Amino acid sequence: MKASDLGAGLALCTLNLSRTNGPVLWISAHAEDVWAPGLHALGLRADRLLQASYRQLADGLWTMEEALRSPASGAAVLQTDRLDMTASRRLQLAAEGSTRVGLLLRNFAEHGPSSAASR
Amino acid sequence: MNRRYLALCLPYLALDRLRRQHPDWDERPLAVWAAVGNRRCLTATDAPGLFPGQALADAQAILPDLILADADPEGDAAVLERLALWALRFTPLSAVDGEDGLMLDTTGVEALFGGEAPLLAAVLESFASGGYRTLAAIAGTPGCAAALARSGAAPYALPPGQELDSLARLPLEALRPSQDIVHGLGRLGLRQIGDVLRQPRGPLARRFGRPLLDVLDDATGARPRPIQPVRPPPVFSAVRHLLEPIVTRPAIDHVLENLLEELCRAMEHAGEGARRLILRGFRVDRVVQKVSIGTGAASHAASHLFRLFREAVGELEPDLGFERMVLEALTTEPVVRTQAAMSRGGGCTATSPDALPELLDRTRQRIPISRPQPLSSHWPEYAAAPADPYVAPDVPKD
Repeated sequence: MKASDLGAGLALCTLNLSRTNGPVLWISAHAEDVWAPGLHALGLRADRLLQASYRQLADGLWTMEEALRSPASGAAVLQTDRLDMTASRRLQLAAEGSTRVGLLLRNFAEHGPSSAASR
Repeated sequence: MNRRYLALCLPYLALDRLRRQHPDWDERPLAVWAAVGNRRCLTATDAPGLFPGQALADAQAILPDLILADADPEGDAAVLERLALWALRFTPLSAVDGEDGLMLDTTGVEALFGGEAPLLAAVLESFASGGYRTLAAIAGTPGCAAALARSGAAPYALPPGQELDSLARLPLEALRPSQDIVHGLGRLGLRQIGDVLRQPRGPLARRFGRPLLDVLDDATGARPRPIQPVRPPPVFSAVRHLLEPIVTRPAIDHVLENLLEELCRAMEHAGEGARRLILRGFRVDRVVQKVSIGTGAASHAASHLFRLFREAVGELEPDLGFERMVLEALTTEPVVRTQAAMSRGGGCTATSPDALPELLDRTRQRIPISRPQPLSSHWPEYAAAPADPYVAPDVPKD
């Protein structure tokens, strides 16, 4: 995978998020690497961003579900490189049950199975 | 109605406190010292031949096996306040008086002890059994009671109306005016309180100012100084004694739910919210297990706190079972009730202001969360720093 692919996905994500309201939970293995000023320039204000770093993917998935179900968050982004069909389906169900935007940012070349509504 | 005050003086507070902490010192001579200017001198001692204010080197020369400890005024003040709280067992109005005294308003309390003399004896006995040496007196004004206690006479209850007579013979120091006043009056030949009381007030006020008249009026009862009672800290804790030791998770959850409900009701009533909660489980085999949770914003929502505990309770090991469970709020903060924004039209966009802190509390039990705080730097790596997620960062307007 080329680095430019991730950048393009990131930009697309951010443009999507800039149209939502409320805090955005950015869940990633290294969330502190997300460069807030850059997202700010793309329209996602820095005071809306919350960065959550997970060690194990299970924690990240759990946080994503919590964020999708909570009335407080406006949107949630999960950045991961491995996701099986079950987890993907759970997230899709959580997202369908709420009015919030949930985005998956997957940085691996061979696309595994996913049950996301749009990809 | 005549008020009655019991004054307690703890002249050896600092020493008694240390002796309680170190039972192995028993009767060995002890002194507390501090640096005054560039001099090191004793601040308190009960060793024979030594006196407060003596140079440290002299004291060590006189008694080579003297135990020395650093003075800790803050620690002494904290102990005194704890003693004032403890004295609430005698009267509901108990106050700290100066650096080494307590003042109890015992009006109407003596009937419970069978008179003022038994009351005085009960107070002295209880302090003595705790290892604190005390002097005490009961009188009709706080100032007079304190002066009598400090005069070093045998503890007694002064009958009402005799304040002036008994004060007249006491040395002026018993009223605790500043050193300058004692020295100044001593140069005029006025060494007893009676001598000073006989002087015309006008010249005294001109020469020594308001503080002297304040202590005199306080002692004679012409203008008694109000005492400021200590308030017992509100205790937010809930206890369940269990008939049968509990082992299973559902049983523990059920007890926890009951405890949280009780605690949250108490906190809501007091307008406080918990920041830190601890759950203690007392096991049958005398082992205490505990789990604690913290919240980012003070909360008294039982359901929210219960969800936070759900992760932590799994770490408890009931073994043979818990027979007692205690839930305590270690840190509380006042909760400001805010009205949720009025929803217009749809209503699904209106969220309560607690929703985000609650989401953060829950998720932070498992993974760290931070907010980026934009900084004014042109270096990209210094343009943002992680900050507290509960506080909205300042973002410059574009």
